[in-house]
Amino acid sequence: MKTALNNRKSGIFAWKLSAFGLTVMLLFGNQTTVNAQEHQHQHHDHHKATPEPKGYVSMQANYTIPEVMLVESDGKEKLLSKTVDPNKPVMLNFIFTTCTAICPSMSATFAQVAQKMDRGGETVQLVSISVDPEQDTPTKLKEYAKKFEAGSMWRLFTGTTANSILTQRAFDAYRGDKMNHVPLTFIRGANSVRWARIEGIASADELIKEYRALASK
Amino acid sequence: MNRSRQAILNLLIAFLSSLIAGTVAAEALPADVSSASLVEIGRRIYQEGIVESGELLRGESAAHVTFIGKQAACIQCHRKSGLGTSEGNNTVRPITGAYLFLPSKSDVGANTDATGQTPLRQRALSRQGESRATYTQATFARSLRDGVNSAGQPMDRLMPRYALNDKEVAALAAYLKTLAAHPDPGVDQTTIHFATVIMPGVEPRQSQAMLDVLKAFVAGMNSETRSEVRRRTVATEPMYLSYRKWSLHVWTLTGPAEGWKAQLEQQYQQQPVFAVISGIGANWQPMHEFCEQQEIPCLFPNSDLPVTDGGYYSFYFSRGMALEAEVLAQHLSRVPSQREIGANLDQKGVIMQVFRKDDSRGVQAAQVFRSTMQKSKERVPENQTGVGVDIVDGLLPANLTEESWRQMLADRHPQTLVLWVGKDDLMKLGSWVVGASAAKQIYLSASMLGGDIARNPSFLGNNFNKSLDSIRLVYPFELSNRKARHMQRTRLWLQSKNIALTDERVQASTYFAATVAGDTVSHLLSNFSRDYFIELVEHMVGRSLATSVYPPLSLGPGQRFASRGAYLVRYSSDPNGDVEPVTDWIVPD
Repeated sequence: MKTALNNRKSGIFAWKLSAFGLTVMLLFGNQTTVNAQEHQHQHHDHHKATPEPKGYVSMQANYTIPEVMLVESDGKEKLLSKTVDPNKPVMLNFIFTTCTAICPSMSATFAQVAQKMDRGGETVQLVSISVDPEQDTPTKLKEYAKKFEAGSMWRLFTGTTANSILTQRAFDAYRGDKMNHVPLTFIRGANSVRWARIEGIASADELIKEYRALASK
Repeated sequence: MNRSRQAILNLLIAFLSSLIAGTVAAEALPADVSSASLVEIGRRIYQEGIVESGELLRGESAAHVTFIGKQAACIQCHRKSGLGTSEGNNTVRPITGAYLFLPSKSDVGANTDATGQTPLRQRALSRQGESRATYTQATFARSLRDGVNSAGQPMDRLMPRYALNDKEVAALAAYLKTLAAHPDPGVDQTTIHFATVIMPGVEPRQSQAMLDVLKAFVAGMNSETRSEVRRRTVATEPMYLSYRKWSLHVWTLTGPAEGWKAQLEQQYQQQPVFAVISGIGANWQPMHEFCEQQEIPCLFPNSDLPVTDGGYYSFYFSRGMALEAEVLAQHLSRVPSQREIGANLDQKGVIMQVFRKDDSRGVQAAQVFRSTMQKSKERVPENQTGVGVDIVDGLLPANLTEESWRQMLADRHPQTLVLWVGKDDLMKLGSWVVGASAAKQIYLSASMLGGDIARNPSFLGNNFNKSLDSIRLVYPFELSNRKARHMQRTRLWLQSKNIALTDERVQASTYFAATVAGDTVSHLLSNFSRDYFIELVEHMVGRSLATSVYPPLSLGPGQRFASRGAYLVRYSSDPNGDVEPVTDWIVPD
C-alpha cells in the first residue's frame, strides 16, 4: 500500500490495456492470493476490514472519447466525442446522484476545481457521466448540479444504460453494478489522447496540480 | 413511534450499564443533561447535520472538501442503521455503540443478554488480522475532531473532521448506542417471522400462484439450509450467524379498504414480523401506510398501484400505472420523426382515455397521463409533436354495449384511443375498437391486460390484420427473447418444486422478492436491524442472481423502484410470434 502511494509522483506509465491491471497490482499487491470464495464475494467489501485506500494513484493512459449519444442535464441528446471540445482540456469522472460516500466528495471537489480555475482565469471542461443513468434523469442531474453549485464549466450527462456502459468501458472504468464503482478522475490536456488516470480521492489542488503537470508536457 | 420510545428506553439501559461498567467516560457531561435529550442532540447531528445551537454541522475531509448540514451528517455515509456500507473498495465502517464502545474480543460469540436475545455485537472486528481498539470518550472525540482512529491511525480520506464540543461528542456517542441496540421485532434466537398479504378482489388463481411460490421457498429455506446453522462461512463472513427458521404468516384481508389497517395491526400484534415479502392486491396504499408506520420492510408486492411519492420501508418493482402513463405521455410528446420509425403519426385531434370509474388502476393512469401531457405541452408546442392537447375521458358504463360504445365515439371523434382497461373489457370492446372507431392509434396497457394478451390478441377477431398498424401496447417488461433467458432460472426452480407455471409474472415476481429477502437475511449476520436490512436490499437487488419479468433490476441508496421504464410494442404479424418493440426503452424524465 505504502509503496503504491509513494509512487504516485513518479509518473507511472501504462497503456490503455494495462492501466487497470497495474492499478489492481498497485493497490492490492500485498494481497496476491485471493481465494475463490472471497473473489466471488468481493462485492461484500463492507464486511471485510480491507485496508482503506489513502490519497490517490496517478498514471497515464491513452483513451478515446467514444462516439456515443448521451443526454445532457438540459435534456438534449449529444454526441459525447463532439460536445466535449477536443481543443480544450478536460477533467472527467463517473458518478451517480444517490451515491452516498464517494460521489459527494468527488462532486464537491469538481465544484472547487471549477471555482479555483475560474478565479485564475483558466478554462477546463468538467464532465460527469452517470453510471446509474435510468435513475439519474436529466432533471435529477440538474438538481444535483444545483446542489453542488456547479458552474457553467461543469456539465453532467446521462443516457441509455448501454451508452453509459460504453463510455465507462472506453475509460476502463466499468465495474459492473454501480455500487462497485471506484473513485476515478480522468484529466486530458488540449488536443491530446493522453490522459492522466487518477484513482482515489484527490483534492481540488491535487487535481489542478495533475492537470498542470500534464499540460506542461 | 413505539420503536423510538423503545430506543430511548434502550439507551437509558445501555447508558446506565455503561456508566457502571465504566467503558464510556461520561465525565464531560454536565449534570443537568438528561440522557434522552442528549440522544436527541446526537440524533440531530447524526441524521440532520444540525448541532445543538441549531447551526449547521460542518466537517472538512482530508481532501479539503467542506461538507455542511445534511451533507456533513453521519447518516450520509454510515446510513440510518449506523452499520456502514461499501462502495467499490471504499469501506464505510459500522459505528453503532456496540461496535465502537464494546470490547471486540468475543465479538462473533453467541453470548446472550438478559432478554435471551443474541446481542448485536456486530461483525467480526478482527478479521484479516486488523483490529480496532475499543473507543473511549477521548479517542472517540479525537476521531471526530482529528481523523485519527482508536488505534492511532489516520482515518479514511472521505471521513470529515468535525469541530464538535464535548457535549456534542457525548451526545453523538449516546445516540450511536441506540442504533441497532436490540434485534428488531419479528426475530428471536431460533425463528424469523415474515408475512405476506392478500387483498380482497384478487383472483384466487393469482393469490394461489403467489402462495405456492412463497411456501415452497420457505420450506426450502428451512430444509436446504440446515448446514448453515453451523458452518456456512463465505470469505471471512460467518454467514451462519443469521440463520433462523423461517416462519411465514399469510395475512388475508377482508371487507372494504377502510378496515384493513385494523386487521393488519391485529395480525401484527399477534405475531410481529421482521419483514413483509411479496403480497398481492390492486390498491397498495393501505399496506404501504402500514409498512411505513410500523417501520417494517415490505418487499416487492404484486401490485400495479404502488405509492409513488416517498416512503422508506416499501420497495416496488416499478411505479406501476403511473410509470406506464408517463412513458406513453413521453412517447406521444416526442416529435413524430423520433417517435416510431415508418409510422404515420401526424394525426392531431382528440385523445380519448377509456377507463372504468371503479378500477383505480385506470383512474390513476388516466390522471397521470393527462397531467404529464399537459406538462410536456408547456415545454413542446403542439405543432411540433403533432398530437392534440385535447384529452377527453371516456368512462365506460357499467353495462357496456356496442351501442353505448359507438355513442361515446360519436360524441368526441377521438383520433387516438388510450384504453386503460383490463382483459374482460378489452375482450368485449375487441372488434368494436377497430371496426367502429376512426381512431388511427390505439394504446393498451400490457400490465392491465395481463400476460396472455400479449401473445394472443384474440379480442381482435377478424380485425387482426387490419389492426396491426394501429394498436400499440405500453410494455414495462423485458422483451420475450431476453426474458426467456432470464426466466430459465425461475422456471427450473418452479419445476424442481413441482409447481406448474400458471402466471409467469406473479410467480417470477414472488420468487424474486423471496430470493432477495433470503439473500439479504443471510448478510445480516447477527445484525437484525430492519434499517440495515433495507440498506442491504438497496445493495443486493442489482447484484442478485434472481431474475424477473423486467429488464435487469437495480436499486441504490434511497431508491425504491427497481425498474424505471417501458417499451412501446406492437403485435407480431406472425400469429405465433410475440410482441415486437417499436421504440427503445423509454425512461420518463
